[in-house]
Amino acid sequence: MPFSMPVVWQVKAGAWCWQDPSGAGKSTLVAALVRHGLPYLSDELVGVAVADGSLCPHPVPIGLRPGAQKLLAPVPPGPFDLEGRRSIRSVELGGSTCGCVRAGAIVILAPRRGREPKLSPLRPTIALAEMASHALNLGQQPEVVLGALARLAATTPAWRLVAGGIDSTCQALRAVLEPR
Amino acid sequence: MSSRLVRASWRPRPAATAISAVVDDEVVVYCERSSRMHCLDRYGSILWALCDGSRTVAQVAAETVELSGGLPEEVRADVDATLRRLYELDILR
Repeated sequence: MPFSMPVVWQVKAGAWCWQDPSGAGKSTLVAALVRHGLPYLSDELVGVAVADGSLCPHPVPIGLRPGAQKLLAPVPPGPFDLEGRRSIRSVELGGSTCGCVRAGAIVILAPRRGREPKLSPLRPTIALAEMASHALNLGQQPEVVLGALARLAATTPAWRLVAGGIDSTCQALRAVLEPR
Repeated sequence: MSSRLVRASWRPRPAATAISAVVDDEVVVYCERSSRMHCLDRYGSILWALCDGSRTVAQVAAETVELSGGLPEEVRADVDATLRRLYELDILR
C-alpha cells in the first residue's frame, strides 16, 4: 500500500471521487452521499493497493463548513472548531463504513458549480493525470504510482462532474455509480 | 536547442526524469524536474513510442509518414514541431 489518494466514498460496486481545491464542495457532497445511504470510505485520503488497485478506507470525520451545514441541515449538534467547522462521523449522518473495495468509477469534481449537475465522460489519460497529480507520494515513487494509477484508469470509467444542487447531484452520481 | 531539434541526425529519447504510462494507446508523462503531468494525444503518443533513442528524427518522420500516409514535408514539419515542444517540456532529450 505504498501511496495514498484523496478520495471520498464508495457504493456497492466501489466508487470514488475526489476533487481539487479546498472549498469546492467535496466534503458537502461526501456528507450528502453518506446521508443518501452510501457507505463511507474517506473524506481525505485512501490507500491504493498496487497489486490490484483496490482502495482501502480511511474514514476520518467529515469537516463541514458553516455553509455546508446549512445545506445539509439538520446537522447533529456537537463541537465546532475556530472556523466554525463541525467534524461529523459518518455514523452521525446515519452512514456506515466499509473495508477495501474495487473502484467502480473515477469522478473528478469540477471547481465550478452549475444550476443542474452534469456528468461528462473523461478520457482515461486525463483521469490518470488528475489522479497522479493528487497522489501524495508521486515524487517518491513515480513509476509505481503512475503504473498503478494507469491500470486503474484503464479499467475504471471516469467522469467529470459539475455539481448542481446537492440532492440532484447525489441522484446523478448514484445513477452513474450504482450497478444496473 | 531549436537547431538541434530540427537536425535530422538527432536521436530523441525520453529524459531520465520523464516517467510515462500508457492508457488506451495514449501516453501520460510525469516530469520529475517540473513535477508536472503531460497528456499526449494519439499523434504525440505515437511519436513518443518512436522516440526511444534508436531512431534519428529523419527515421521517426519516415515511420510517421508510413503510419499516417501524410505528405512527407508536412509530416516532417509536424514531427519537428511536436518534438520541439516535448523538448521544451523537458521530457525529451
